[in-house]
Amino acid sequence: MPDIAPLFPPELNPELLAGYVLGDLTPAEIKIVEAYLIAHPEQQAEIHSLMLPLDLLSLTLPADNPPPSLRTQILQSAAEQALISQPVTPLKVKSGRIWRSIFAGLGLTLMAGLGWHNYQLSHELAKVKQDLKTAKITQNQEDTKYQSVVSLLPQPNNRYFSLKNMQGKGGMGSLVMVPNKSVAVLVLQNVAPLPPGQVYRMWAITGDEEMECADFAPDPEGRVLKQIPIKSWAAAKKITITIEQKEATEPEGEIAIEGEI
Amino acid sequence: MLFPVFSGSFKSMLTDESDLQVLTALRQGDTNALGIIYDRYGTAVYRLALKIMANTTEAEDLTQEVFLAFWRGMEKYDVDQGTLVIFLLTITRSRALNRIKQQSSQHNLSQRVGNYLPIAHSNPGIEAATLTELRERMSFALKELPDNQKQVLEMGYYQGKSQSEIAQELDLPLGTVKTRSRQGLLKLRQFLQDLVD
Repeated sequence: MPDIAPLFPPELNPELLAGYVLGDLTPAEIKIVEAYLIAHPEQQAEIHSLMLPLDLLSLTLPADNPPPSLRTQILQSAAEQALISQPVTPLKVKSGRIWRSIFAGLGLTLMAGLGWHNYQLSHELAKVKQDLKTAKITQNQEDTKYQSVVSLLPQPNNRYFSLKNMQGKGGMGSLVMVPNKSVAVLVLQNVAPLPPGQVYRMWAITGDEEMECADFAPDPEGRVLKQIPIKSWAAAKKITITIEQKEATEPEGEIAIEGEI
Repeated sequence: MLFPVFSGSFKSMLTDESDLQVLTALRQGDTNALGIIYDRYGTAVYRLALKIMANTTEAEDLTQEVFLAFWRGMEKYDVDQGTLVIFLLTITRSRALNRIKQQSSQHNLSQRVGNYLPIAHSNPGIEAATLTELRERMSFALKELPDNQKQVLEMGYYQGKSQSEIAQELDLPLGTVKTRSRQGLLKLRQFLQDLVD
């Protein structure tokens, strides 16, 4: 075994540091090591060097390889989640296809808004449209909504807000502001229904001012797709969605969803 | 290319972009960047997942979970703190052991993996090495390790077992397990010393 003692000061047994990394020390020993590390912060490097073999241990595992389809599956799921953050679920192409398509299309809006409007964007948009045709929903109301949303995607200067659930009650999704069309598109899913008399209300926050934007309710499947005219809140940096009584005029209710640009 | 993850340098595989450049693209929403990262480290993640889960379906599912969690939570990875492959392997191990914990209703594994925290640390020596080099170095070091030291380290790492549990399973005194683990770790570290200098 190589001589390891010179790497450590004489007052601390190197095995104690190894034990610290391995987690096999007694509480008293942990105190000794941590006190030592406080007094000798440069020795943190020794801790890291002792973690390295564990970090790299799995590189020696047998050459089992994942199936090629796994890569495709991961990238497809990532594309779906580009807009919304939600637990990973396998791709499904039947029920709810239009909504996933809408989310995927709007996910591409994010890329466009960030300057990533490229070949892939055009390709994916074409795919979304083809999905809709395949699902035979070209004449229904959802398709009308969808086509309206898709028409907004290529607009320059779009701004994107990622919206997150704040209390386990609301949903997740996004708001895409399309200044060139003076409209914003709100897309949410997994939005809980509210009791009669209550509404979800979206507020745009600019500086210290909160401006009411729109009320909405989810459909029976917890989904929201709504176009909202942009009035004086085009420069908003933050969006909140509260649960309010219908007649309320100030944001007094709890915040269900919020997001920042 | 059969094994892209083990076939090139950290800084030049599949494309000429460094991990940092790819991560920058990923943070800007480029899913192609995720594909590049998967091509670089997906196999390493899958192998570790398979080792711990001992089931190909579970390993595939966990690999997907790891990459999508990484995709969603990019802010949690600080490129200044360490190498990407170590970060991915660390969260793979953590999630795999937690899955096993949930499946077996054992007590919290995260409390018995010692101070081996799921936090990567900066290491220019590692970043400069290729994955192939690291694998070869690690394989050589493991071969030099006495089997009994290797055994206890692997039980702790891959199975998340505490040293008390290892002692019980191997019918050895706890002190013996501690000694073997510590000496084994110190010896491995010595073989990799130049990577951290």
